[in-house]
Amino acid sequence: MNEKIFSITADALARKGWKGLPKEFVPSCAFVYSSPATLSYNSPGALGFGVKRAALAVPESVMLLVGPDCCGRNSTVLASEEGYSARMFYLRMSQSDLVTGAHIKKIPDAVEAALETAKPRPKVALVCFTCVDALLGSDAESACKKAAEKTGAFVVPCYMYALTREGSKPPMTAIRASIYSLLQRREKNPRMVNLIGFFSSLSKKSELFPLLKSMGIETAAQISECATLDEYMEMGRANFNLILDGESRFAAEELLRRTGTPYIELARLYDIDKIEKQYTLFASALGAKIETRSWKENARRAVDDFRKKFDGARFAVGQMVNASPYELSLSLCAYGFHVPFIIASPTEDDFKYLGRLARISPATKIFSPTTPSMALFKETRGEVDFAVGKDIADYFPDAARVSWNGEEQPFGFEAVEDFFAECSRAARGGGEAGA
Amino acid sequence: MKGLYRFLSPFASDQSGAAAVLFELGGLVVVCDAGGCAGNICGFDEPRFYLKKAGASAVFSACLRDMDAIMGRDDKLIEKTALALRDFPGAKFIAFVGTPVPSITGTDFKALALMAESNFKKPALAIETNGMETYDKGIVKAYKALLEKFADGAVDSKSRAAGIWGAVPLDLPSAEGAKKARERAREMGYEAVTIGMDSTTDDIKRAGAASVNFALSPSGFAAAKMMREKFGASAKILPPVEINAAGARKKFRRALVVHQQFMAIAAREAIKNFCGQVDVATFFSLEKEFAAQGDKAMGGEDEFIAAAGENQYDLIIADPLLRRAIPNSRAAFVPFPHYAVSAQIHAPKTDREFTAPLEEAFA
Repeated sequence: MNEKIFSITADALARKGWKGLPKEFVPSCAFVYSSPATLSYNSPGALGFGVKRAALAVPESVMLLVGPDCCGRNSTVLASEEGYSARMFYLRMSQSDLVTGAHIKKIPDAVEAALETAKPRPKVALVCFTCVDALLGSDAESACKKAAEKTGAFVVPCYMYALTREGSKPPMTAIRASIYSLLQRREKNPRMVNLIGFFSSLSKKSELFPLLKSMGIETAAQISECATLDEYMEMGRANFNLILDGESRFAAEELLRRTGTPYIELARLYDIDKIEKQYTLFASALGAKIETRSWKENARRAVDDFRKKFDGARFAVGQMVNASPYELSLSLCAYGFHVPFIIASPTEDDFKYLGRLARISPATKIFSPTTPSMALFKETRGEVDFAVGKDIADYFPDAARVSWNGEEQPFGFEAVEDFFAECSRAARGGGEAGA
Repeated sequence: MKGLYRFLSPFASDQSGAAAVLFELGGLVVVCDAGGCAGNICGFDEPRFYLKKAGASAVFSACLRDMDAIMGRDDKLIEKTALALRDFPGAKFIAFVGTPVPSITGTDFKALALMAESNFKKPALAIETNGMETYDKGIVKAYKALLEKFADGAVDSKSRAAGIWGAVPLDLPSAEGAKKARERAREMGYEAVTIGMDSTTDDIKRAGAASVNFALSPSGFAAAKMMREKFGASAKILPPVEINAAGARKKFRRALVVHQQFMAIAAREAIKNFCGQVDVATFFSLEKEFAAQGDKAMGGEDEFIAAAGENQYDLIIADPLLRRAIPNSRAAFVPFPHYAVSAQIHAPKTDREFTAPLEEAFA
């Protein structure tokens, strides 16, 4: 391994703590190297659910992107591949717009034209603003209000402000608030909860659904499952919001403020004992008792079976995974496997897991995917058996590829079972697997 | 409404054109953005990005944040450049490529390049793109910066050396387009270098010695004209593709070809004997001296719909993505993919794959 490539051991990083996070993990402290791995997630409009596609989770909606051509360019490809081209509209900014702000005045007419074009006529228009309007200080709220008055549709501003990525409301946090911003206070249904955090659906196999039922919760609503705006509006009746992704805390706070709906957070974990403990605490907070034994046993069996086949297996874990890369790495190490490499920037939340990871696997090397020196990271052969994450397979060409970044969201004990099943499948096939 | 795209989506912008010219030249290319622009360039407009070509430029995002933009922290950009050069000491040059953010804050790119040259003793290019113009404008800006910085030599009128300009994937039929262009030049008796693909900064340094400069696109022609002004060599069109419609049996009343102008002209030349009239239209630069009556430059979607959607044509030859804008057209539609329009969605693997649908449409 080239010594010029920045890396730090789990032990050293844990000792530094979040406040001492090396600047190599902070993108704005250096240039960001455009590797295929970086591109997979770095840009706010990148692959998977970037701001644009995420916003379109609102049913019966279209998006009007207001910005320079370069800001909408990736949608040419992604919207076509992911099937939402017909819901995307673009109001292209010119250089004179920078001076006159004329593009803002065009928004009501552009929204009307978009609503007229889409069939059937959508009920919601999401107007996406870019860094340009952030710098110009354009009044997005007012423009959307005028568009709503003109069209009679709901018009929601959303913000693709890459400039604010390390701020308090980075784009993917802000968009989560935007997509729930139409929910209104309604008569509460004590037997209903909203699952918020993901833009796609939670795996129907997850034990979370039967567990919620056993606690008397009959409806677990998700935005991705709402086919109509009426169904979406019903989410305003939820007794509480269950956050399944930490980036939704701001959205949940906004909902608490606006609709009075409280929230509880459940982390996506891969440590079986922690999953059980979390469910128990959750149930007691609701004054209920739950039984998780059978699911726990299945998950435990999945780990044991995998260990029998791949005792001492070595994993590299990337950034683009349906997991916290650090919690997943910690769980793998706790199960007796090895994680020699993590290629992922830690969040503040990840430091909850780093201390324990440092005790179990102090020598785990942690790389920053965005730092310029990653350009020197050549293909590494023979050092890991499994490369977990959509973004890192190229670094470990002879490892079994486990994308573990599918759109259906795994959760709970079921996620553990499925994860090891995917790993087994990848090892057998030698190719890529990845729910 | 001017500026509104209801059916189409944005084409490659000027920053992608500039980065395409620089991509193989082994420089340190700094896209002065917050992250998304570099992502768009590498992920969607640059098919060579995933090929890991040895000696290629390293493309970085400057990763600007709101306070950098507001405060205009050029010194921080220079610090970041120093950090990146630690990992790329062999970079042949540094290029600062503009995006919408610096165009709003009024970044002085020339000053930035001068600071970089002074600090790092390497050539530095200032390319003031803004993400709002089309890719061909960025190609011209990058060529201009390279020529001003590197090009040297004196024309030898007896030399059979030639430059071929406009050789970037955004304008060519396929990945083999540059090689095929050199072969066509060789058939004409020239040993040619394709500037933008399969070339180095040394080729640009020697470019002044060429006796002729061929252009594969209007942006390439702009570069060839710069060469003519600087060194006196002649500037000529080289068709960017070879289309063989000799065996045509079908005839059409009136055809519309939409692409970059020189590609569209190559198609017109191939089919003109089998059509009553062939018009060329482009969303990009239109060189008047090569335009025929009826040819047009289009500013956007509305103009395309007006031009193509009124059933005045019985044949439309255009990128497949454009078809969405004319659902009621009764004209026969022949796919003629343009990477600057539909990127990898419809990208042919070979020149043959690119021309086959057109040739078959007349068979």
